[in-house]
Amino acid sequence: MKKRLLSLIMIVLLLVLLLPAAFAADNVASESAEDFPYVLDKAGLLRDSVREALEETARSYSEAHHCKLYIVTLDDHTEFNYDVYEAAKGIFLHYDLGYGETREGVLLLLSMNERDYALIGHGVQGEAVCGYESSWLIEDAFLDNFRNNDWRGGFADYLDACDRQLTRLEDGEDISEGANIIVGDDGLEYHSYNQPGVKEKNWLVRMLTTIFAPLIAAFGTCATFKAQMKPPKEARHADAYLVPRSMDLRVKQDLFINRTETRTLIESDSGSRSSGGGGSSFHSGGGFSGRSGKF
Amino acid sequence: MSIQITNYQCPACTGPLHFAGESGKLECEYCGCRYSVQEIEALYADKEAAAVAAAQAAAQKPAEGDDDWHEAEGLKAYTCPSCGARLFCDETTAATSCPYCGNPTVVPGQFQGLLRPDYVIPFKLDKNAAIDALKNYYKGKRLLPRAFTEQNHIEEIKGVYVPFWLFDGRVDADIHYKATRESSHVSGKYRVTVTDHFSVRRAGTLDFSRIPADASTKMPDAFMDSIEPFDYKDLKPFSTAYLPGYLADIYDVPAKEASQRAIRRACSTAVTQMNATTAGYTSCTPVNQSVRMPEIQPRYALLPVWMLSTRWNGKSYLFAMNGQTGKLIGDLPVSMGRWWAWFFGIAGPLAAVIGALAYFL
Repeated sequence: MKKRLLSLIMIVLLLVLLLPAAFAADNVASESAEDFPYVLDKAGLLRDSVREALEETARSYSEAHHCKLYIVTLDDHTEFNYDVYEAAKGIFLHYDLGYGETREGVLLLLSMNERDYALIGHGVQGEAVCGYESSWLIEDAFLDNFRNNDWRGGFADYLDACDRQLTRLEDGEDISEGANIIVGDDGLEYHSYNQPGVKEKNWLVRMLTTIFAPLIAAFGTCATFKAQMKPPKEARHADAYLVPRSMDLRVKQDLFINRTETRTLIESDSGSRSSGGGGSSFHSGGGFSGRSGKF
Repeated sequence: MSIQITNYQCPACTGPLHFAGESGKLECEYCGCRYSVQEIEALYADKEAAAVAAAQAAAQKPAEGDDDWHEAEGLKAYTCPSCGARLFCDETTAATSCPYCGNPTVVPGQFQGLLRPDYVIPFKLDKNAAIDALKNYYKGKRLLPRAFTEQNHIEEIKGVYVPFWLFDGRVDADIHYKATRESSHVSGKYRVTVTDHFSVRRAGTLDFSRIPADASTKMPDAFMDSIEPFDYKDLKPFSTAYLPGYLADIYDVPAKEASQRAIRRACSTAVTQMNATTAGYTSCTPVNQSVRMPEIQPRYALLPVWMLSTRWNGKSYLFAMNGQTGKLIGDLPVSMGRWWAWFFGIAGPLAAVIGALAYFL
């Protein structure tokens, strides 16, 4: 009897836990798995014309490589899962996305509330292009755009990067080539060191730092030494001769005049985390591989 | 000719007396006898009165004989009562020593009427303390040429009672400010900054006591300001008995002229104090201010200063030390060779380290 009661409670609990996820997943798209669009903009980031253009590009690349490339934007991924990567996996599995029997596909999920993203790949090709180095190369292409709220550019770069990596994979090239992953002290991996132009810029910054930082430090030290020579100066104040507690403040007036209010759009935190890239972490297992982080 | 100057001599052996800061007494250089200021004042009251009378008589009479050309050059001629030598001093000299017999001499006539100081701070530190202070002053000065410390010698060292005006007064300040107070909070994707604007006014008075301003054109103002402050607890009613052994000048900068510097300083401090009462605002900018010192009361005092001068590479370097507290200030030469050596000595290795880090990391 007790066993039956326990089983019943477990079933009820399971239903309670699974039902919201199921309802939430249904909230993503009312379409069936076959009709699931390549670009699903629930956060409303894209104009219709832009979304349609991206949809067409994604369709074209997907058909060319037999690997579907998806874009999903949400206001808040925590409706599905507190982890954005798991949320992306949940959407992929719930709608049975992907191409063919092995469900070949790549999905990029943007969650706007906390500016989170996840890039996942499923299937042979999907997992390959979302492998450790290759996923880093793909996200390297779009992160800068998203950080600057350039949604159209970011999605276009994502699709182009997937197309590029899938082509290299099909041609038997090394799809990890070009990745120069920098691991920060926080364990996250950072971008911007292998982007064309950025590397040169970085070296310029290093060179200028090497030249000017020592000059400034040396000048500051010598200026301090010179200040030690203490040339005589005429006094400007008479603080030492102020009679203690002699101040008689006969008027102390503080009149409120008016109030003004200014609003400033908050920059994302990721913008300040490194010299140009947000941190991300790599995941693999369970038939998926990919990355997640903040933009 | 009447004697206008007084030598302070030991009543026991007639040796010259000088005021010693350490003991606060007049000491005989020969027999070592010590006398308090009050004892010497009493002993020399008659001599001083005679010297003052002689000075007043000399002032009323036209100059005689060969003194004419000296008087014309702004010098005054006196006769040393010890050796009879003729002493030629500046018009402002009130205490000196005879260059022939070495006896400390005081000209009491210089301190008559309005020229009599209200206060004096006696010397506390002697010549040796001044020399030690100068040697210490050189230490730790990394840009000082090595040759300066090794080769230069003290050319002259003299203890001078410098005339100062000490000003008392009240500053009346009335300042209007434009102030803001900001607070911010996050609303959705926006940071909202709320700024409250205020019109702020502060008016009141502040009292100042004994702001010093040197009253001698011979003394550079920057040097005299830099050796402040003096400890006024040691202020004594003026007596010529504190002067033997030192030089002393009377003022040649009138109180009205010197007061301008004191007023500037007091007003500047008053503004700072008023500004301090506007704390709590994010920004507070004065837009209109009226700061004045309508009444200012001068007191005349002689304050102790050791003046030291050195010579190096054909150039004189002057130092001044507070004869009461020992605070020393002066001009020092800067070695550009040392400056560049330090500059490249720091910049070179630092560039190598940063360069290596930039390359390998």
